[in-house]
Amino acid sequence: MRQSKEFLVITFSQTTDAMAAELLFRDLCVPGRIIPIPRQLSAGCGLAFRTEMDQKQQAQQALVEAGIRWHEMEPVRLLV
Amino acid sequence: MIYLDNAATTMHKPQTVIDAVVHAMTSMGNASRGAHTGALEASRTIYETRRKIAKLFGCKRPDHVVFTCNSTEALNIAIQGAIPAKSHVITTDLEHNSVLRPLYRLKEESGVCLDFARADRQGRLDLQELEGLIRPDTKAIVCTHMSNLTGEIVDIARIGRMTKDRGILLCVDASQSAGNTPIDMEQMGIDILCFTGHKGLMGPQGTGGMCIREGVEIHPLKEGGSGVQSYRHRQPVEYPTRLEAGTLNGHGLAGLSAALDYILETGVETIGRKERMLAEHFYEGVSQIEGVKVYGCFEDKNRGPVVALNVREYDSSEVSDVLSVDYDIATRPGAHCAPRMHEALGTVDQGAVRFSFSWFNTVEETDQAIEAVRKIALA
Repeated sequence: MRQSKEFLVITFSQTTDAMAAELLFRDLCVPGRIIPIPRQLSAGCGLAFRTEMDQKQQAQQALVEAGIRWHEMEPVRLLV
Repeated sequence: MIYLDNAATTMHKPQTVIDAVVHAMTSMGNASRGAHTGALEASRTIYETRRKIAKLFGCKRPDHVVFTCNSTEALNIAIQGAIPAKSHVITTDLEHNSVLRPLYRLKEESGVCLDFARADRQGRLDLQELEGLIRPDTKAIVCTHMSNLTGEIVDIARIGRMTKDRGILLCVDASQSAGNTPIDMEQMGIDILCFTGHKGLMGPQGTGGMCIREGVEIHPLKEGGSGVQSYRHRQPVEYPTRLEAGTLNGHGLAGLSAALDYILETGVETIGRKERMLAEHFYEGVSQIEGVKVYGCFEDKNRGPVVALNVREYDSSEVSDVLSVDYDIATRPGAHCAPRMHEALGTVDQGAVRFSFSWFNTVEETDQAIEAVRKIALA
């Protein structure tokens, strides 16, 4: 079976917010990338941002300061 | 990139489409707004596009071809503009949200009574059951021609025979079938055919429309500028102006016109045959891999170029992500805006990874996709 690893996954209620967060995190050098939303967080479709677990505080603070809404910010094991 | 997300949009367009858009953006004015060279070029280009759409779909009158931004807009105009309040409407489990949501809205806001023809675990409809749902007050059947999730094709001509003598409106969503499956409105008994330009028709995004049978009345969703009858208080009543308030996407429609030339010259049956061959080749490859579950019925060869699957118990989103990042293969995961079909297939929780093929895909690309699925399943 493929290996998995725990990531911090941030979900958004709409794609516009995910795109805004991606730009923000790129500017602030928050590591990670956009992924399809994992089923653990939402059955359905949409985008999420996957980053390292230790980025939670920085990511949260950056989103708050930029006024970007997020839906959930949870640890999720994902295939690597 | 190996692009296998053509059911979402075709990314590879004929070069003539790109050239036509570029030419239009340097030469076209606003259609139906004046008679200078640029405006006339736009008017003529758009009218030619209507003629080609009418020819492709067997619509008797080019002036009954209405352009919209996409099939969602066309379906909203059709559903909200042609279905009376408090009437009975039949639809199916195969539908996309572009059909379901406008119908749910009518149900909530206009007292429309909605019945569904059920899909089985393989995503197939029982048309006898659908016919059994017809009541004396049934005013419309709204039905997809092809499932965007499994590629299942619905026998529209058979439904057309049910509606023809009963005075029931037949509105068909051809988003997935236009360009790869022959459609003839007259022969199939279709009253309103909704299509999009950017999928199988290989045109630009932002193009789509509807073909309307003569005598079918649709109340406009929008009112506004038309370039004609400026002193009327309300939108002109003649099609297509009746449903086309505001400037059309002339640049996009010029591209669609070139795409239609390409399709009409190549032949819908030729295009469909190749796309189905690729999908079947892919199905034969992946269906033998341990741990891969493919959805839909493949006994019937008359199906769309779509294969939806899951690998073991992996989240479809993760499989699609691995395909993208490790193999540079583009697919679509999760729910595919077809909630009732996911319920029928039992994939609400896991979603499904959809591989969808186009005229421009190759057997080599398909083989690479099979190999990638094999590696993910074995790893």
